[in-house]
Amino acid sequence: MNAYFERIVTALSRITPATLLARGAVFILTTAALVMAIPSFLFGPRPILAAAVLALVVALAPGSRIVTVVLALAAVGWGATWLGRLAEISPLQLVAFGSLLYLAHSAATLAALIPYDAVVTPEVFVRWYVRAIAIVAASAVISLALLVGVWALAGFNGAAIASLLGLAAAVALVAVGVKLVRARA
Amino acid sequence: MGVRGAGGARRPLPLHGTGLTLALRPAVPRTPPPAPPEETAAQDWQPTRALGRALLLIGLLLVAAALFGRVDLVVLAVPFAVSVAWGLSRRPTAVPGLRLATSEEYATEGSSLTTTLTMANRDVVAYDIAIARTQHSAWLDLTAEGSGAKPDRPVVAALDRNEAAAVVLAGPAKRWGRHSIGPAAAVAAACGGLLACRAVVTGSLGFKVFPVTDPFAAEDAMPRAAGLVGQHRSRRQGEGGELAGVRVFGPGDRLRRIDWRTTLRTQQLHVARTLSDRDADVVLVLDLLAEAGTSGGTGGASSVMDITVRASAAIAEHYLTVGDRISMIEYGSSARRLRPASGRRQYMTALEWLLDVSSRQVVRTPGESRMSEAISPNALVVVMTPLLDARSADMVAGLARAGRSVVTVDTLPPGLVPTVTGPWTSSALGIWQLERANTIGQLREHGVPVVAWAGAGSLDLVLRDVARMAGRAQGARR
Repeated sequence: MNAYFERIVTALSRITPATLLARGAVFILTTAALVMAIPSFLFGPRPILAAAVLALVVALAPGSRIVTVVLALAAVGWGATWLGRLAEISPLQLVAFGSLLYLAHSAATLAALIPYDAVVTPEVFVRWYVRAIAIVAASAVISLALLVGVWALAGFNGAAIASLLGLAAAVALVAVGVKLVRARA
Repeated sequence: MGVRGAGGARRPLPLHGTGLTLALRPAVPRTPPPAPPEETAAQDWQPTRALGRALLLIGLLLVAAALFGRVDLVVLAVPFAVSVAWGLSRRPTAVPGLRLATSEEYATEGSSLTTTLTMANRDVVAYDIAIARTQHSAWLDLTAEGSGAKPDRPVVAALDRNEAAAVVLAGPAKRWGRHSIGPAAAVAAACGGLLACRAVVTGSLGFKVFPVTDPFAAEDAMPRAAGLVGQHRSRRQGEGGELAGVRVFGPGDRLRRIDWRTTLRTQQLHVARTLSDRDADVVLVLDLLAEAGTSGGTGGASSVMDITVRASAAIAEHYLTVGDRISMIEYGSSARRLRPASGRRQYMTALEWLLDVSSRQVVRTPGESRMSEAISPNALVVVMTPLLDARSADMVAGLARAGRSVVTVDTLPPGLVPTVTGPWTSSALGIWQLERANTIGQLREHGVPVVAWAGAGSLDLVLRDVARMAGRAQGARR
C-alpha cells in the first residue's frame, strides 16, 4: 500500500505546468459547453456543479471514452433545451455552442496526446489552438451561410431541408467510416 | 573522433568546418529506394480515439437532425466535419526519424558525456505534435542543454515538414562501469490529432566509464623479482644500477666495473657490486563475494566494489608504468582471469576488465589449490577483500600457506553501520568487529599483512615486510 502511495506521490510531483495548462483548457471549455447545454427548466447551481464535475472528469481522463459520452450529453442537452422552440435560437448562440463543443473536443485531443510529465514547447499550443480557431472560424462562416440559405428557402424551421442535409451527410459519413475501417484492417 | 549513433535513418556525415560531406562508396550498385507501399504507410499511421469521437458525434448529430428535422444539429456538426475533412485531406506517409548520436565512446568518472537526440519530420505533412523520450543509466547525470530539464521526461515539439528538432543531453558520469543512453522512442500525431503513428525506437549507445585511480606509488622492493629486465632492485647481484658493495677484483669481472677510488686507496683492484634490475609479476585478486556500503559516485561515499575497482586500477597503473606484468583474478561467482602482460595496452585491457566487476553471493567458490596453482610462485599477490566472508580469509591464508607473497588490502569502507537496527544491533556489531579484528590478527600471524586502502603509499610499509619475509628460508610443506 505504501509503495502504491509512493508511486502516486512521485507521479504527482512529476506533473509539468504544460500538462496543467492543457487540461485546464479542457476543463474550462467543457464546463462552458455543458453550461450552455443545460435546459432552461433545469438551470441552477446544482446542474452547473454537475457540469463542472463532469468537465473535471474529462480533464482528468481526456484520452478515455468519457469525453465522447460527455460531449454527446452536451449535444443531447442542447437538443432538449430548444425542443419545440427552434425559432427562438439566435444564430450567434448556436454557432458559439457549436464552437465550444468542438474546442472542448480539440482540447481533450491535445491533452490526451501530451504525457503528464512532458516538457512542451510553447509552439505546440500556439499551433494547435491557431488551427482549432481557424476551423471554428471557417465553420462559423459555413454555418451562417447554411442558416441564411435555409432561411431563404424555407424559414429557420426548415425541417425538410434539415432532413435532406442530414441524410446526405450521414451517407457520406458512412462511406468515410467504411473506408477507414478497410484501411485499418 | 568519429560520431557514433543509433537510429533509423542513414545519411551522409557532414565534416564540420569544411563544408564537405563524407560520402561512402556503396558496396553494391546503387538502386533507387523503393517507395513505401501504401499498405505500410496505412499501418504506420492509425486513427486516434479523437477521430472516432468526431465521426461518432457527426453521425449522431446528423441522424438526429434527419430524424427530428432540426437544422441547428447540422450546424453543431459542421466544425467536426470541417476538422475531419481538413485533417484527412493530406495524410502523412512516413514515420518520424529518430537518432541518438555521440562523439564519445569512453570517459572517466566525473568527466562529461554529450549525446544528441534528434527527431525529424521527413513527411510532406506537418506533425502537430511529436513526442520523444529516452532513458539512461542512473549514474549518468544528464540534463538538456538550455532548459536544464532531466531527460527522463518526454519532450514534446511541433515539427513542420522537413524540420528537425534536437535535444543535447550533457552531464558527468558519476560512477565507473558500463553505462548506456537509450533506447529512445518517438511518436507523432498529425491531421489535428486524428492520426497517430506507431512508436519509432532506436538502439542504445553504450559508454565505458573508467574508474578514477587514486594516486598510488610504492617505493619499496618487490619480494621476488622475476624477469631479467625491469626497474625493481632485486635481491640478487648482477648487472644493474643499485650499488650493493665493493669487493676485490676477480677473474671474469668486467673492467668497467672497477671502482677506481677504492683501488687507488687500497692499492689493489676493486670492483663495484650491483644488484640486478628485474621486473615482477603482480597478481591482483579481487574478492567479489560481498558488497557493503553505499556508492555515492565521484565525490561521494565509496562501497566495497568502488574501493576494490579504484584501488586495483591504481595499483595496476603504477606497476605497469614501471614495466611489471599485471594479472587479475576474480574470487567470486564467475572467477574471471586477466592474463599477465605488461605495457600500456595491458593497462587499458585491465581497466576494461574492471568495468565488468560485480558482486554476487555464491555458494561455491574456486578451491584454494586452483587459486594458488594459477599464481606464479614469484608473484606478488595483492588481495582486495573486505573480509566479510569467512571463505575470503581462508583463501588468503591458503595462498600464504602455498608460499605466495601475499598482501591484503582491506576494502571495507570505514564507519560502516547496519542499515537495519534493533535492540541488539550495537552488541552484535561489536562482536562482529571483534571477530573481524581477530581474523586480521590471525592473518598477520600467518605472515599476511593487512592494510586499509589509503591511496599513495598504502602498500609501502607492508611491502617492506613481505620482501623481508620472502628473503628468509622457506620450510617445506608437508
